[in-house]
Amino acid sequence: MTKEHTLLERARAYDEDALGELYDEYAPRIYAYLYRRVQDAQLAEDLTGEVFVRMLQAIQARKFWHTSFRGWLYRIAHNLVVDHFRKQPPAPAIELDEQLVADQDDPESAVAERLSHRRLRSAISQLTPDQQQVLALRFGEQLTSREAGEVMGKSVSAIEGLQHRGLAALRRVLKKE
Amino acid sequence: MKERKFEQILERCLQEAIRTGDTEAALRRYPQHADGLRPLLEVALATHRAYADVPAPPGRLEAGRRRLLETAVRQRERTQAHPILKQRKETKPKMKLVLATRLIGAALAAVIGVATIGGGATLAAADSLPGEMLYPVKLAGEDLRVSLASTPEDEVSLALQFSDERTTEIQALVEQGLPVPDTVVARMERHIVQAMNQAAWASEDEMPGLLKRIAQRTQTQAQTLEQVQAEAQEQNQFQLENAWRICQQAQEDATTGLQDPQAFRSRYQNRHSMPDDVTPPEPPTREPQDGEQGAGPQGPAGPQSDGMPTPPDAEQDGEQDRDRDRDREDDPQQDQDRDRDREDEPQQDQDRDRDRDQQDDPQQDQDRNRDQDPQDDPAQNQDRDQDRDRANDPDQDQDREENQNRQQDPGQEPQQDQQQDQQQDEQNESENGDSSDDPTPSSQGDNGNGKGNG
Repeated sequence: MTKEHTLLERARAYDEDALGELYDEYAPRIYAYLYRRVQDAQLAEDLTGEVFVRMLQAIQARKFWHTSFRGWLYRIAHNLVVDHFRKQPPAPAIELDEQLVADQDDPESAVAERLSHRRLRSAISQLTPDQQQVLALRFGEQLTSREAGEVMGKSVSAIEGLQHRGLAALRRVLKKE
Repeated sequence: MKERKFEQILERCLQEAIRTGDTEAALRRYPQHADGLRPLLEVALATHRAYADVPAPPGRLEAGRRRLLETAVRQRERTQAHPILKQRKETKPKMKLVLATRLIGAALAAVIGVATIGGGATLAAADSLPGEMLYPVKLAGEDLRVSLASTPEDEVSLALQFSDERTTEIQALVEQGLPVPDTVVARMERHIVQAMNQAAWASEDEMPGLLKRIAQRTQTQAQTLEQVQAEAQEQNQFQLENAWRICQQAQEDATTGLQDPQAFRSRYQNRHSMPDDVTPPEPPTREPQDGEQGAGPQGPAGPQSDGMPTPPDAEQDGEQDRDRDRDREDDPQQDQDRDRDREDEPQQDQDRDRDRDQQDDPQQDQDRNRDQDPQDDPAQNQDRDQDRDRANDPDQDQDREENQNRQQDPGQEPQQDQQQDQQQDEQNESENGDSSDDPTPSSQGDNGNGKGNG
């Protein structure tokens, strides 16, 4: 039995030390993932707490993950994000500062250097939920295609296809702006 | 095939570029693809850098930790104070049966008592319909039975049984010319989601059997509702359409889940309502009926419904979903038009490609689309159909998608892009699955999302 399984068995018995250990281990990553998705630190922190409460409920009902614990937490987090945006759709894309917008006559190779994080995040929010998720998992959480596939319930090839289309769409949005 | 190869090359380059930060070194390995890869790598690296910028959590995550531990303490105390709660989760099936028998006995005694006092009113509740005095008694009885279910299989069985019951009620109401309350459809959705949720958490051995049962029952329910809808009054059309969609989507998802259990788990674990793609039609504006809890214009299948009123924001969100859904499902003519537009894209893309470095003009693109779209001319349509025969060639399909993915589409608004991308994602995901280790079929294509196909 892995250390993770031992911790979860203890957590299932409401062992506070085990629960605290699990939280300390995974909460920062889940918070970062949620922040990348919702772009609001306070909201991301609130949702992080909710993820772990749901985890507790799930392990009490013996609803365990089938791949990796971390992937399972990301999945709970993703469902929370989807539910959140269903209740409260994301705000319209922010107005872009003129000086932040790359000149389209510039060489392609210079574009990346000119992109501000703010502009990029605004552009990402215009992608489909799946594309946003795959970019957050691959380039934020730095998961491999296989790991991202486990979180999203997709094959490696599907993840790589989604990633390709997501990047192409992102570039398209950025160019348009 | 070419596209898949390009995706694999992109993946290798991404790994190297992110590891080393040197885009050019990664590109030198694939000079023939450098032009296509470079912009994607640059955007990927910029995303990588932007994502590294995560502010510290304002409360240092302490509130979440406190909340978790407090929840655990509360639950532990509750479990200790009411050992039955713990037993319900942990006792073996045999013990649960004993427990259930005792509880049912107690419930039956209460029922008999009430029946005696109330002149058999409780027993009569079994046949009651929404709006009738005894209907809440019937629902309470159902809730009691669900709470006593001891295995996922039992829960699925009950959920499907009660979903059947809602279908029967809807049918009876329509036959009597009575309005179908939104709450009935909301409760039906809850039963179905409950069944799907249980299946999503079931073991690998149990899941296929559960999914087959769900698929069969919801298919039957969808067929019944479709027949009822044909005879339903105008006032009930919205509720019937809504209920039909829920059953149809559940049937499709359960069928797809048999082929790709992992995707199904991902979709239905931790869900309290049907996923985004179950979206109700435009509701008619009407005053709430007596006895309705006012599910609102969003309808019961809306986000996080569970019979609760829908928040205004969610209603707006649902409105957009409905519009998109209507576009996608309810109008075959639009589907044909959209297919035609999609097939025309390679040519449009070439045009756009020529202009890629010039300033984009959405209006010009719209004009170009209009010029190229022969939908108003049947003769041209016929010619195009002949030309389009080659679109049935999988190889050419692949090439066309490559063009779609490779080329830019500057003439469209982001929202349109997103919708197209979403469709493209679904389509490509299905095709990627066929050609690799993911057997996920297209739920829309294979199962016939359109009502006519059902």
